[in-house]
Amino acid sequence: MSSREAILGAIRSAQPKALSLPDLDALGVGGRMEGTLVNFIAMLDFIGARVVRAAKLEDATTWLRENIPVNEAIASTVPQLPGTVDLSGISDPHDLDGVHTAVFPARFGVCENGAVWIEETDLGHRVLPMIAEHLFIVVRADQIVADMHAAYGRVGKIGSGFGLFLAGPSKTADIEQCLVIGAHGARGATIFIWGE
Amino acid sequence: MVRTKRDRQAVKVPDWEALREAASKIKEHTLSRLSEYLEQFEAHAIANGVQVHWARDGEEHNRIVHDILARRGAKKLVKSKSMLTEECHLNHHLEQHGIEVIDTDLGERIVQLQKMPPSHIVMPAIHLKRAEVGEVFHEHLGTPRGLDDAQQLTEAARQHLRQHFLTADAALTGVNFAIAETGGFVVCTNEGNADMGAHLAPVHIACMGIEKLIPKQEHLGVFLRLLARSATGQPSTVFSSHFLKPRPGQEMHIVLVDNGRSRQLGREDFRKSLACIRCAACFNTCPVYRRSGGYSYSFFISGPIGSILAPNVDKAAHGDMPFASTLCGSCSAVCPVKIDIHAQLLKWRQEITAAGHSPWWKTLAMHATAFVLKRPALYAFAGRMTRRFTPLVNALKLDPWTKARTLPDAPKESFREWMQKQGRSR
Repeated sequence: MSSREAILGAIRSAQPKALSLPDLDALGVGGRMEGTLVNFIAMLDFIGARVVRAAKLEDATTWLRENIPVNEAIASTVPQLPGTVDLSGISDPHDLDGVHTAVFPARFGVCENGAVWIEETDLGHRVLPMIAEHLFIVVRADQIVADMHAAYGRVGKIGSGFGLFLAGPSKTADIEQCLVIGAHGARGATIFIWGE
Repeated sequence: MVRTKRDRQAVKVPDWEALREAASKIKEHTLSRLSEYLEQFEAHAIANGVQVHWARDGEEHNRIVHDILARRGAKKLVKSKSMLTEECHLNHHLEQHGIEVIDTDLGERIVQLQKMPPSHIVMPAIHLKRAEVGEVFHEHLGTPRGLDDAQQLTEAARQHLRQHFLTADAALTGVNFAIAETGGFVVCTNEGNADMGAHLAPVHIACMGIEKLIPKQEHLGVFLRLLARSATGQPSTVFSSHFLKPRPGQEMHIVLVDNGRSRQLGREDFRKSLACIRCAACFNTCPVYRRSGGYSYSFFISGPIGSILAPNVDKAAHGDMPFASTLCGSCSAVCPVKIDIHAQLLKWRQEITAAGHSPWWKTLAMHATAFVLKRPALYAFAGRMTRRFTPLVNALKLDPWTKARTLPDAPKESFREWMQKQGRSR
């Protein structure tokens, strides 16, 4: 007998009578937190992300010019905000080591925890949000949901092979519980929120 | 400290208790139909281009992982946090076969360099002081002697581990949640180490216990809201990565491990322990864990949850663990999936004693206590003797407990004697 059959057999004889799946709405789960832009920005601040608020996407050009040192590598997947690295020419993700700032869009933001949803198709390379030293994430102001239940409603079926909720810069508190921003992933995350 | 952070986050969520109830019910439902959900998960994962393996025990798990690596000629494996691989002693197995294993979670890397196991499932090096980490890094990473700044130490580890990420032949991650309806799985980290490994290496192996399954993607909403708040008091982990398919040119494997879980599933009193999402909220609130630390337990998962998981693996070897509890119930009160931890601790005590795994001196002491308690005169006499000889106990230090601690002075009279005097004076 294969291990698969052995394990499934053992489970079948051990599992109890089938119980029904709970009704989340009846339990009162979700829809009880406010999904406002003000709260979203406050939460981003709490988790150590930087927020830039602007009317137009093009305003980001100025911010990037003023805040990223010249000669640093910028990898961008936002057509209106071209970077200095030609992502289409990179086939091996290892070559992204040394990118100073990664610029990419998020589909929407989650008010309750400051996370933004990112799909593989918006990244070019899955490792981009971790390997870059800094992140510049572009999200529209009207694309904010209140909680994670609404978020999964928005995510729906993930068409690509990878998606991610990203909440601020990477961090660790593994040394004596001291919070340090910038573990293996980005040292800083700027969320650029544009539009009404 | 972590406990306070957890409380602060939990009270901010108005539907917190509804979430706990939902999580508990979803897990109970999943466990009651686990075989179906596993088959569903496997079918979807295969359709996604992932290779699925089944391991009955730790040994088979290790063999599967080694075979995958050996076929690719992999020499270096970067590994993110996985309690399952601790359970199976994977690192040791691979190292014996000449494969270098690099633990990439900062806390795990620190204890790995010390050749020690993690002392906490979420914060593996929580027992170490900054200066001790500085010593370890000085010896292994060449940082200046005496460095004890957390920021600088973390930076040194970042540089050191980045080189390993860039040169690894394969990556191994744990799994926080596997979703039956999509065949995908979610890995949560704050450091980004699981992603750095998995997205760079040509091979990604994800190892999971069979109890990590949930039916639907929408259920992640429930569990992700609970996990980080319960674990570290954060509203979310920084990275909640949803893996469905390998990236082009990459090999992706999932290893499903039983290793005693199906046995626990059949134990009605202890089945619910399989609902655990490994947040460690029960560790952080436990008065025993907080005083004694992870190394005082005999099992690789310590704390309250470890104490109800360990006896399933080996009642004799870990028979002590359920007794190292005050049964205060704080663990059950914070558990995000509502495991009745303290009730299971008590049930394990009964099972362990009935199975004859209680040490002879404890059995003898219990019988002696029962003998005395049944006889009021003897009880009063024993009380008088105890009060008189407390200083002697302190002087002799016969019990290990008294080596570093002194019993308080005994009162001159018993409560009963005091009570009688009150009656007389009135």
